[in-house]
Amino acid sequence: MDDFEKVLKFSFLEEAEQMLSGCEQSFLLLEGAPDDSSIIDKIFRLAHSFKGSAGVAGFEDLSSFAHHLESLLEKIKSGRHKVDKATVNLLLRANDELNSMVCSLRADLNRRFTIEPFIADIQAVLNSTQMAAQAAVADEPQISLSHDAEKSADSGFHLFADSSPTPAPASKPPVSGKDSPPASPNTVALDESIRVNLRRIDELVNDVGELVILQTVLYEHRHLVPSDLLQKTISHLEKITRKIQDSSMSLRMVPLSQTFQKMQRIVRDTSQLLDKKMRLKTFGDDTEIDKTVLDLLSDPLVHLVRNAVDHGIESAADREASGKPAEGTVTLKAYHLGEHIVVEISDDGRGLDKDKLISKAERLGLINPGSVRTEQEAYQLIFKSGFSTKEAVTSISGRGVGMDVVKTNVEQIHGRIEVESTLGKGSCFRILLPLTLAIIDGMVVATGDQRYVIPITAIQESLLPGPDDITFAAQRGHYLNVRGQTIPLFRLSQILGQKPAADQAMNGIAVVGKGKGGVSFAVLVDDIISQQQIVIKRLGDELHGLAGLSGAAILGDGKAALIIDFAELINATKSNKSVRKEAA
Amino acid sequence: MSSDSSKSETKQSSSRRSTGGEHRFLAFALCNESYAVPLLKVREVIALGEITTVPYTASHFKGIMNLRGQVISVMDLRVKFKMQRADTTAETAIVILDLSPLCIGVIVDSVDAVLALSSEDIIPPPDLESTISSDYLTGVARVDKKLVLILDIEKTLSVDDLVTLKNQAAKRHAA
Repeated sequence: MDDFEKVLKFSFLEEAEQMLSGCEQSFLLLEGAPDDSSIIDKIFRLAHSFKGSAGVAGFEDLSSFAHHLESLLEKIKSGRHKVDKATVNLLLRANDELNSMVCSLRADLNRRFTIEPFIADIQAVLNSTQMAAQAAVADEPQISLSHDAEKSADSGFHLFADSSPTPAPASKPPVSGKDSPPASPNTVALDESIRVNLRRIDELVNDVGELVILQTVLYEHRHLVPSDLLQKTISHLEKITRKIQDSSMSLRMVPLSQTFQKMQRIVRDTSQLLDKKMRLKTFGDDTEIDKTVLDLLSDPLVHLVRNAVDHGIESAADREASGKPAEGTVTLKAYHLGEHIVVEISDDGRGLDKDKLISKAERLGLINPGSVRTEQEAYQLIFKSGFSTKEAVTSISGRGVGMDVVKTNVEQIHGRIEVESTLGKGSCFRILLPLTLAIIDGMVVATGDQRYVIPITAIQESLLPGPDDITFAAQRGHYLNVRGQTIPLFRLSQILGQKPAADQAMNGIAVVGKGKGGVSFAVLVDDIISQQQIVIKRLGDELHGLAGLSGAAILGDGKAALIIDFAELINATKSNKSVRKEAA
Repeated sequence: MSSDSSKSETKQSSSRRSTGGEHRFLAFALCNESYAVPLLKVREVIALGEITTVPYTASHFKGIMNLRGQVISVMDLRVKFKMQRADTTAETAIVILDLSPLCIGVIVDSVDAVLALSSEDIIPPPDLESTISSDYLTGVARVDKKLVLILDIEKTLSVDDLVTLKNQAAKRHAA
């Protein structure tokens, strides 16, 4: 059994327990209200998905068991079988049986079960319905059904053989000596976990954030307390609080492995569809990432992996002609790099062709002829909306809606995407993501009586400019000279739309950042107050779409401060005429 | 409003409770006029705290504040209704309204009483000499010979025009 199969089986077993407990509750509800169709529908849905998932995970016994249960439920659903106490008892017994099967499967993935006696019980219940129904009206489908039931009555084995082509294992003793040794490590690898609503975790994180603020106040004033014991306690409390903060943050972290497994499937299906030989290598799938980031990362990854298979990798014949192995390789890697988590999708395919990209974009009218020259600029073209290098539109890719969505999604989670490519050798898409969306390292700056937070990642350096470093160009604003390089300089209050005081001189500390096109700029702030970890709080929906503000933070004194995205704010103010006039 | 009158109102409301079909409202003052919002929409009332201003928002948007770890937007209806600027006193408070999914604080001059009003007590808003347009009202009630204006809180706190500087994604969304 390979790892993929193992993960699949274990995640099913985890899911199965929840489905079964859902079923149990519904069965009990059904007893109280046997005619409530919504309950029956729910049970039916659960049983159906249980059957399906069990089949996918390769648990034939479970799947076949659920199949028989489903036919009973079908009768109940269509009203051909009345729910009485005996039926509910049977259903509950079935539930218990399935539960114990799931439990023993957790211990031994290869375990088989004898399910015939139970199926016979189900058939008996179905039969009794049949008799009653036949007495009333005898139509085609019912006759054939009762025919089935008769057959299974004399040999309960028969139906089981029908649904499973290999009936022999069922009669095998449950635990054979040969199967158990590989099973035991499976149980060790099992990650004990419970599902918790993300909202609850967010609430906890919120409260812990508040706790940390209160604790900081307490800690800073501990010398006011005359008692040694209390001072010591406050110091201890400080440590514990940090620990609680760390563990509450780690609650949101989940490994990438499941997402990577999904990609395995996508590569398999896509390459089969395209008739290409392909394999996916994954590295670092135990890298942990914030759940919210992961959810938003899933779609971009699917796009990129499909693109790699479809556009990146050549057909086997082409590959052999250019001296590559016939089998293409797509590599998926995840690792930490400084303050980032990097997810890398690379292929050893044909690579991006700069000239082809440019001519295509010009033909589509996405760019002006001659405006794009460098390789990096050309690679960025693929992220433009409406761009596709593939001539024919297939079900996999080619509609040109993929890559711009990829870019938007990645930016939504404060990530960025880098492209590297060598013609004929392959391409590599690198997604750089923040470790978590919940905490960033931020610099707290002040202008006037307001404080703002700037993510450290957006700052290249901060410096104290001399009077000679700043020049003013009429109509164009101020410029700052940084070691011979001249970059635009803005006052923070000005890009925030506040009216500058008449006699305000351009002094303060310049914070240098880099804009989206790679152009540096500087923003003048009155003071830098501190550099600290910032817990990001979402702004309410009422402020949705506000340019340049990525959230709020609660500072050490309990006051809320805005987190500013300089590059976006400057961009937005530039395109907003009224602000420009005010700022000029 | 004096504490005496609010007491009598409470008494009145309890005597009315028997009539049934009544709704409870939180009454507060804005510039010497009495307003009310459905009590079920009120999450809590807190003292006026420190508010951080947010750039590029409408003038009646006061800013954001920290409510026990949650960041809440605060609006000033006195500005929205173009009333006179009122001084901040010890009675000035923020009413936190829960308008799922939004949660918004509103600055009021004072919080006065909880009123129980039956549907007969509430008449449709006439064109009265109030500072605010009747568009923002669902009705008017007479309590102790004083008019209480019942706010259509969803309309009053409409947030469509709040943000004056949109980011790229929002712009594209709008287009």
